[in-house]
Amino acid sequence: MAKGSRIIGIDLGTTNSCVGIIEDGRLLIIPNDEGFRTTPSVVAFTKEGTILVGNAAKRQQIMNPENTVFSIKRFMGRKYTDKVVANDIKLIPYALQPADNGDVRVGVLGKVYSPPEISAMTLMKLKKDAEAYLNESIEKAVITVPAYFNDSQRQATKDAGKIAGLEVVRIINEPTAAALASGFDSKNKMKVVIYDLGGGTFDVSILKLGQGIFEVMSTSGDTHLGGDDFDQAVIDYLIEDFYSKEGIDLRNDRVALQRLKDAAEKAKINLSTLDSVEISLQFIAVSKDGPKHLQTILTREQLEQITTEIAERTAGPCEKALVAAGLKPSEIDEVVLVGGQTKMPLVRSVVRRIFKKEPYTGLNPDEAVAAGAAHQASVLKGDIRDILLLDVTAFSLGLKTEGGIFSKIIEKNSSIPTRKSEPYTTTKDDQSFTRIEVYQGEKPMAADNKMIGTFDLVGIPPAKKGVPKIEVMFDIDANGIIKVSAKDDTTGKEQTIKITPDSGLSGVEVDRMKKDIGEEFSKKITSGSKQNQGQQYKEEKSKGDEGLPAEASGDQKKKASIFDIFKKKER
Amino acid sequence: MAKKLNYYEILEVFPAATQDEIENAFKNMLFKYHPDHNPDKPDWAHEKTAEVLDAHKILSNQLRRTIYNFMIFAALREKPAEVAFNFFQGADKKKYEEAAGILQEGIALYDSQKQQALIKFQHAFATYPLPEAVYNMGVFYTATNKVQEAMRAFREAVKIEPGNQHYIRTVDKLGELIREIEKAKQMAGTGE
Repeated sequence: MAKGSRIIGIDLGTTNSCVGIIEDGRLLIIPNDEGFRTTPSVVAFTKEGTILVGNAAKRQQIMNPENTVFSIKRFMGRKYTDKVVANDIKLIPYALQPADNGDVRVGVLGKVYSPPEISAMTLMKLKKDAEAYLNESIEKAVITVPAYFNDSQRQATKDAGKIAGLEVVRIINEPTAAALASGFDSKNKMKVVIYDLGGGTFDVSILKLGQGIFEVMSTSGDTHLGGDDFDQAVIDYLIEDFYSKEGIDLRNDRVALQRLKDAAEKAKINLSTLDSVEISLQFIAVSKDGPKHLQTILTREQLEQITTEIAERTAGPCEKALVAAGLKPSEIDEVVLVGGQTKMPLVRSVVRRIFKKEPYTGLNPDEAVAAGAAHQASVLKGDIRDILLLDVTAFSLGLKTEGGIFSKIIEKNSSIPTRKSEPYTTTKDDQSFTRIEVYQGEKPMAADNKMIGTFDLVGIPPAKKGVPKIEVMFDIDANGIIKVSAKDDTTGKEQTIKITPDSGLSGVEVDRMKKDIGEEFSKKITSGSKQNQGQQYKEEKSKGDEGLPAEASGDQKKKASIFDIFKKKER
Repeated sequence: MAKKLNYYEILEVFPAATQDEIENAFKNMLFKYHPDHNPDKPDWAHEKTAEVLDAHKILSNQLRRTIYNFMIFAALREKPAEVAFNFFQGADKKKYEEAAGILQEGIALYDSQKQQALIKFQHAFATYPLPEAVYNMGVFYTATNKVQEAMRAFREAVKIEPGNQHYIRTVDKLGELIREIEKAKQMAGTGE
């Protein structure tokens, strides 16, 4: 395979991932080795010792729920003790455990993996498929993350890239990527809202377009709100319904739960176009009277009733973003929908109400983010020179000061890259050390925010108190990643800093994982199908029963019935 | 250490530039410096872009720009003006020199420890009523958003040295600025 210099754009989604590249000025969504334009972000470990990624992993999920890892994005850069993690543990069939530093780990078949390692496996599959399709090696990528990802979550994503053997040349925010792909002529001045409701996360960004610059004015969101929550509401409804009819609680049966999840998701998707669907799960349970079947009708009205509360949760972040941008809904020119969950009519009506405007649905919600990442990759490669993306940080950055008070240094919604410097000195004679604790968040007390790390200025030359002048620089780079550095203001020399991150993997760990997983993966990975030439294969697929080809337009999808096995299309 | 450029210098525009000129300069500077367009020198690009963004944040907004202009105008007074003829006698002269020394200490501290610098200015002023000391207190209050206190300090400087045109203009300009801030507050209050 030829050594390539191309940069791919990757939408590493909660439920599905997608890869794009700009070739000769045209966008190309790279199909996976089965011809699909999106790949499930699912990694499975079989008892035979194989690792399955993507469709193959998803297909065997029902049979092997404990060892099939999905929605790993929800745990990237998170602590085991996070409230959101505690909630999710109850809902997922695979095992989570804390690492020594408190980060989340996944336990499968006696082995322990960090979330970046699991993500890396998805990335390696995407990389491999792209290499096969383009017939050259790929070493660089732009990867997207939710705008509402904090420093730890971004760092974890970067680590995942590294473990997968990819240099992550830029991390960009998903809504911003979608704006790049929107096709709106950035030469014309306009204000655009990107409403991005994916599989696991919700982001809303407001952008100002003009003279080639895509400038984010404000961003807000919820990293734990997405299609998964809609599915869960349907699952809960079905479990309640079954319990009231049969007196059997399906919550304790992992296989039943997995079947319910599949059925709930399919029902939800089909109810975007149909008024009612029949849900039928044969032999879902066994009682002393014999096998029991779950058989029920779900109408769109019922679905909307049980999920209204979830859809309404997107209103708060939208209003926050408007206030932060200093705009009224009437000043917005377009509201663009991104993310699979925005196909739901209920979500669209919530959007219509918030922004008092018919949303723009011209983008393919499943591919827009990858398309934007591909555009950004092209900018970084130097092929596109007339557009520029100017993003913001979604969180305030600050320090813990006396009494545990959080003192802000960089306000949220500040444009990035940014640098703020703070002068430091000593409070005692001959003091050689001073500690800085950095946090991200908006709460007045430091402890209520997300700790980023501890930075110790060490080796300060002995002097009377107040004499040393140390300038500490707090940087947020174009990836949204924080860097703290310091210099002695009197000598201009770099001041030594001992950095203790609150979470994440060390460089050594990342290197080891890269080596281990690289070996394990090249030996054991199976994607479940032969190498295929994408285009040809896709056409065959569309006739088969495996699901809709990923490029089918919204209109075509309307023909689908409940009996079709849908490929999950949410990110 | 290289002298820090002011925001007009960073955007390479004249201080009298129109808002349109500032916007155009900003866009040009972004394309020139942004890390996306300078992948071979990320650190340099980061630093330059951060400066350009800071400059634009202030100069793109009329009120912020007026405040910034005022802060450039009302910079620290470096040292007491040379006294043309020696009318000091004995103790007064000693006090004057002592106050001038404390003032210098305050100026040296100002960039890294503003609060400490303020104490020095106050101390200097208590030692001998140097107009520079009270003026610098005004500069401190301006920088820390206490415009009413700043006004009192600048007026005091005028009282001590009524012939100083710079002090008089400082008071006038700050008066205008306070009126503009009030106007902006009212507009924000009515939701416009």
